[in-house]
Amino acid sequence: MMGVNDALVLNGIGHRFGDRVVLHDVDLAVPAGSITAIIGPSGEGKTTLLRIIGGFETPHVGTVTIGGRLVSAAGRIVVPAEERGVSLVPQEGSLFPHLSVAGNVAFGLRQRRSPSTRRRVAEVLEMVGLGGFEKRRPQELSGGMQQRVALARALAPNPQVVLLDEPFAALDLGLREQVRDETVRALRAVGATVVWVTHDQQEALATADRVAVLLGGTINQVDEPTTIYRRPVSRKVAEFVGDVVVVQGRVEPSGEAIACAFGDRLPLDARAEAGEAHVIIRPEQLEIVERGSASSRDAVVVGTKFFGHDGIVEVRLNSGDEAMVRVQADHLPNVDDVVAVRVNGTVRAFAG
Amino acid sequence: MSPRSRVPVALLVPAIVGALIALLPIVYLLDVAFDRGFAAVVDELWRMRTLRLVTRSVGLTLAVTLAAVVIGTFTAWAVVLSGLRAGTFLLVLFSLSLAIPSYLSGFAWISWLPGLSGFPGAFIVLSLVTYPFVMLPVAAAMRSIDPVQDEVARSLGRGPVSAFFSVTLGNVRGAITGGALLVALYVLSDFGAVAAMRYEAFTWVIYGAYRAGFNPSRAAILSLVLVALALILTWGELRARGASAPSRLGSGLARRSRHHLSPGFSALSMVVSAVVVALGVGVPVVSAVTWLMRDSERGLASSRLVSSIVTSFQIGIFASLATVLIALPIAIAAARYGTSTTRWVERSTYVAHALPGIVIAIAVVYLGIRTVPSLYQHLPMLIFAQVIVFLPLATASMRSAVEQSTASVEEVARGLGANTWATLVRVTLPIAMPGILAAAAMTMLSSVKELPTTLLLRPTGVETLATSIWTYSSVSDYAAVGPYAISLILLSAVPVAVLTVTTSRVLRAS
Repeated sequence: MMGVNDALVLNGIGHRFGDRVVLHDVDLAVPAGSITAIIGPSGEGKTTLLRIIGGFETPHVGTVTIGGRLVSAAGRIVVPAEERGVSLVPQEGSLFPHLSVAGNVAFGLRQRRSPSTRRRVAEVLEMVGLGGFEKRRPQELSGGMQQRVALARALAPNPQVVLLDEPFAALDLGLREQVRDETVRALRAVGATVVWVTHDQQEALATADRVAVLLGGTINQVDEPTTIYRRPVSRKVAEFVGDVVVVQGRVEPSGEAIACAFGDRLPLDARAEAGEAHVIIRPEQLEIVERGSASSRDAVVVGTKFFGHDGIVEVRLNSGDEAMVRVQADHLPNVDDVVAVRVNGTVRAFAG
Repeated sequence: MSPRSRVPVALLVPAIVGALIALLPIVYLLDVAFDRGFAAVVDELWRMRTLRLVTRSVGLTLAVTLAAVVIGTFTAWAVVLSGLRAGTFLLVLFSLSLAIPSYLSGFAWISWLPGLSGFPGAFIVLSLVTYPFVMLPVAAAMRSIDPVQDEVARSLGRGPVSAFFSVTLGNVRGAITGGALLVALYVLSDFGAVAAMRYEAFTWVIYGAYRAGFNPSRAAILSLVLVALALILTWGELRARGASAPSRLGSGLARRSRHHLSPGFSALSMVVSAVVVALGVGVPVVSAVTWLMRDSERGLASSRLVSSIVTSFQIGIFASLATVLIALPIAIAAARYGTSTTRWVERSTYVAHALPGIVIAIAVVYLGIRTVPSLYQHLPMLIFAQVIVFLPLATASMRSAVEQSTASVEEVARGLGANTWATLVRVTLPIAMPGILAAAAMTMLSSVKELPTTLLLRPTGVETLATSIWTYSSVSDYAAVGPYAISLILLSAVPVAVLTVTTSRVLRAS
């Protein structure tokens, strides 16, 4: 799974704080020029993994290789942080408060006062949409601007890898999306190799080339966003990357379909072992149809949520299973109405 | 912050040397105290007069602490919450109490009311000098109280008084405890006020034992008892500092809570505030001016006055340079590397914090006479003693200055190619510089005011402002004290006033 194109390779990384194991058996290969998001719940070791890549934490086992060069090996740092060419964009930007914007951006450049440095500073500031801000002090900038200066500072020395640690978590919602899009544009423009840690799976699915799901201290799955969402490798991954409806079912002997509260023969997207299993359905796969339509099941509406552009209908089937159905907002039924629900497309089954 | 890589040797070695310097007096005291064997120590401790000494010191400490808590909490409330006009002006006036050295206040009171000599005088002077230790942290805590809390309490049926006791005081309890422990530590270590009042507390008796011919082991044993008491308080103060968590959860509106007072109550608060200021600042200032008037011939411009001001500042500049240089490695190591060695190093400076100036002075005298007698009563030895006196506070304030730059800022610098030293020079120190300079300035001013080490270790024939005041006051020649007292009040009050105004501006702006 390691390619020559990989800018960063983690091999069998494990890490403990005292007796508490925070990471184990972490393998990850990040292709050059790609954006890889690491997602996982808070406190599951995402930031620790980032600090190991940056050289601020020594993994107890495993190796880190950057650009084909071994930089960390079990228990020791082979190449110190400052020689890795890995620049960091931390959560709150962490601009140097005693330096101007230009001073911050030029920090990682070899000569700090030469004309070429001035040109480079102007260039990266232009790239993040802050051309002409050289003389400003960090304190005078809004949170979003500070974050963009932090990005410019990280990009200025042409790093091998850029690490983003929840870079937008401190910004408010409206601003976050805008800064995120601009950041991604700037990162793609320079073809940077990016590792991006976030707990916001929407953000990761929307922007990354590849998504690594870190659950229980190890990477459960690394894939393109669509694959992660549509073909999760486990129920835990499925539940983490989006809303799911889970019901008990029974895979038929052929292994190609499953019987459950939503239908007698729902087609599976991959062959499964016959027998008891959990069926995983995404709410947008469910549809409210005319009562009596083919392969539909009757259900009672127990609640509705209105979001403006669409809505969620919560229904209870005769089996007692409850499910969420995403619908157009102008079709919201009333509570206690009896409706018919149908599953579109294939579903996933996991044993147990 | 997670523990980080090993401390660089170039940082660790000077830090350990600094810690050893801080511990030197204790080691020496133990050595002298047990000189005549363990039985002699027990014998000395079990004497009735030792017991009475402990009772007197502890009694004074308790009484002053209680008074300082009441005055300090009231003044903090008056400045922050009472809605009285001129809050900053009041804060400056209240803080000035702390700026005036306790021996000067002591002599001012005793020259005015000779009958106060003993416990009453020591109690009054120390309460008035120390209440700002409670007021300052409590005022800061009151500023950060979420006003909504008070409104919630009122909406739940609490009256204004009940809301004050349950919500406001509840929020500042940690600050009060921290301030009270600082007061207690100050009272236990204070030499000036008890000396002026001739109250037989520990420091005065230790000084007596030292002066009355050589009974070094009794002085050392009493010093150790005093240090033990002070260590308990220091430990408590550290615990309290950790426990006083921020009182505001979540990011609320930065609105300040205000109590709306009836006109009568408001006038009463104003009067009480005025009395506190009159007693704490008015008495010493008016005394000094009166002394000056009595003696118009000698006047302010005498050459002896000028030379003692110059000497005071010379000593101050040397002491502050030496202190900052020795404290800086400790501050950086403690702020940036959470290893067991750095914790041990930092704790040794806390231990020095529990050493009263008079104890440090005596320890350095004995130590100096034994090891480098040629330096006894020469400048280096005085500077050495003052470094030990000022090391703890300089370390603490520089540590928080170093912590201004977060670990993540330093990691960013490392990621951009700066190694450990480059990061220190290009990032950590520049960010900490204002705090380091402030610590240096505070150390210099403290050195100018400092009495016990200067008194015991000053070079022969050299007089500073502090020793001149001491010498003349001890023989009740107050007319001669006037010019020195006025100079010292101006020198210590102006910086405190400027500092208070700027910090309260910064607080309001943020």
